[in-house]
Amino acid sequence: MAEHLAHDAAHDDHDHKPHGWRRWVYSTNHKDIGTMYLIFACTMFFIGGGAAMLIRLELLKPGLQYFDPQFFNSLTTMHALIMIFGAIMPGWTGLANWMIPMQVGAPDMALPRLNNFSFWILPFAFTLLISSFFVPGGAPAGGWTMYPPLTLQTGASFPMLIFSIHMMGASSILGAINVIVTIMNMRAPGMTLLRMPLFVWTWLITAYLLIAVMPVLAGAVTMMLTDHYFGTTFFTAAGGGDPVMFQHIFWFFGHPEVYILILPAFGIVSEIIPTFSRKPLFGYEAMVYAVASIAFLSFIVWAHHMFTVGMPLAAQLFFMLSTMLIAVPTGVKVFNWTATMWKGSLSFEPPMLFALAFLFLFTIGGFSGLMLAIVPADYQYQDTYFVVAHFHYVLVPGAIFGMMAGVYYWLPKWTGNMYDLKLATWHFWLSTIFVNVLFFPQHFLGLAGMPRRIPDYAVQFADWNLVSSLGGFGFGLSQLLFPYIIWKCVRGGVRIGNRAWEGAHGLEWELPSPPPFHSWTAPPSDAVIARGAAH
Amino acid sequence: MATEAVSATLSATAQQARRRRVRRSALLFGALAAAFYLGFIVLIVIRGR
Repeated sequence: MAEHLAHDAAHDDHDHKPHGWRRWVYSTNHKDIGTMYLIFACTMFFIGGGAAMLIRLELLKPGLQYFDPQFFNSLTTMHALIMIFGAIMPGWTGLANWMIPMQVGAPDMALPRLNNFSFWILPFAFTLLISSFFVPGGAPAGGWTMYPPLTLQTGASFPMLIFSIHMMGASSILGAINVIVTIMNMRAPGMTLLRMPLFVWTWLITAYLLIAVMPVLAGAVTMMLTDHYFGTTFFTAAGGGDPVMFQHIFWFFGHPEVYILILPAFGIVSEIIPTFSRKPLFGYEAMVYAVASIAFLSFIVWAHHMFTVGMPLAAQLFFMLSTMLIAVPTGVKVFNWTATMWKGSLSFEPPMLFALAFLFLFTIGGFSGLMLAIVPADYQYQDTYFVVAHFHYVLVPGAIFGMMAGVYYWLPKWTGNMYDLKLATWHFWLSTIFVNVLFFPQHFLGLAGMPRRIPDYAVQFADWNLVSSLGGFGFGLSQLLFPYIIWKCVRGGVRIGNRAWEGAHGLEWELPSPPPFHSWTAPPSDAVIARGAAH
Repeated sequence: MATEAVSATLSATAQQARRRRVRRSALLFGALAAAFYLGFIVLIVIRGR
């Protein structure tokens, strides 16, 4: 009887599926909102990528080529803000919207209207931010870290920066609340916490991080706003304030933010490697505890970003050692992924290729992070291209490759069609080769002493900058394949069944491809959940 | 709505209890975020005295 009722209700719902623009503007459906998030993130990825291309164009040769230094600084600032807040974070929220209800056996997110609101804040926030290029004085140029007193000198774009940061923060917090409430309250009966897929676990922990740190960033920029317009001196030394305090607050947000950007990628890789190794994930519970430990440690390492501002020796030692501790749970994860592949029946479809590249290249970023954690060494590396190389290894072949792996893994489920595997493999190889040509030489530049955030440099740095720029153009161009492959797949392709990949486990693979407008209108049975949770 | 569809499989009481849980936890986390926001500002005001 209950099933009949559920079926009728679902059927009824399908009949009333909104059409045209109303379907998107008023959407409360998790898949539609997820799609909008992903399209938005992809758009921002190309806008932020466009800024990166201009940066590499200017750095192709020594000397000032095309842009004045102020505009160059705007480009680096806006590239970072757009990529972090516009591409990676909304990209993860898009994947969370699509996958979490399907993976926990829920019909939709717990708060569908709030979900709509969290998404629609973003286009306004980024229109405001990007339009700051056209106001007198140009876009913000003080770096994405917005350190005072430099950022307090920003011209007409200052309030645009602050307001857009507030809006992005509000959107992230509302999205995080939705994710937590959905996971805690909407799981199907029988979907216990330790049966949840790793992507759901990593997103749950990410959402807690977001709620803890996004308000801290909002608080910091509110204080900057009052310093600028209302005569307060929170961060102005002349009035008794402390600019270094801003750095402490910013990095109390900023370091957990790095894990916000990377933890969902850990979840995706933990789903993909077992699928294409045709083996259960090695050490599922250890993986969950490792992610939780990384999240906890992220709150007590922030000052490693600011060793050179001067702090007591005890503080330096504490932050150095706590940072090194992060290598332990991260090592657990890397070894568990490797052990999952050990004696597995491996195949190398595009999601697995991206996951493997993630494993190798993210580990390089992790190792250079360990080098930066060593206080005396950090005094040499601080503000050089070595730091630029480090965080780009973490964020591009880390977060972005993780996201691409996820899209290539679930795209057949979303569309019901298999994409062009050959073209996606080309996309993988071009991206992997060019990302290394782009970022690996930046280690050498940094170790040789080239400072970051400059439009011009000494001739001794010319060769590696040329190589890096050529790698950048190659990487940028090869990304055009990504939306083309997706567009082609949405339009048609070889039809697939419920399970796109033979080794795939999880509730999402029990649903038809493409899944119905509302996912689990009747909760899955315990047997189905147990089959899906075969980790 | 989807929630109504799945709710058909739940009793009215369970449905109401779930709605209450959803609302309560959303408000709790919202309050937590607000407390972090104001807390850090207050912390710095106090530290500045």
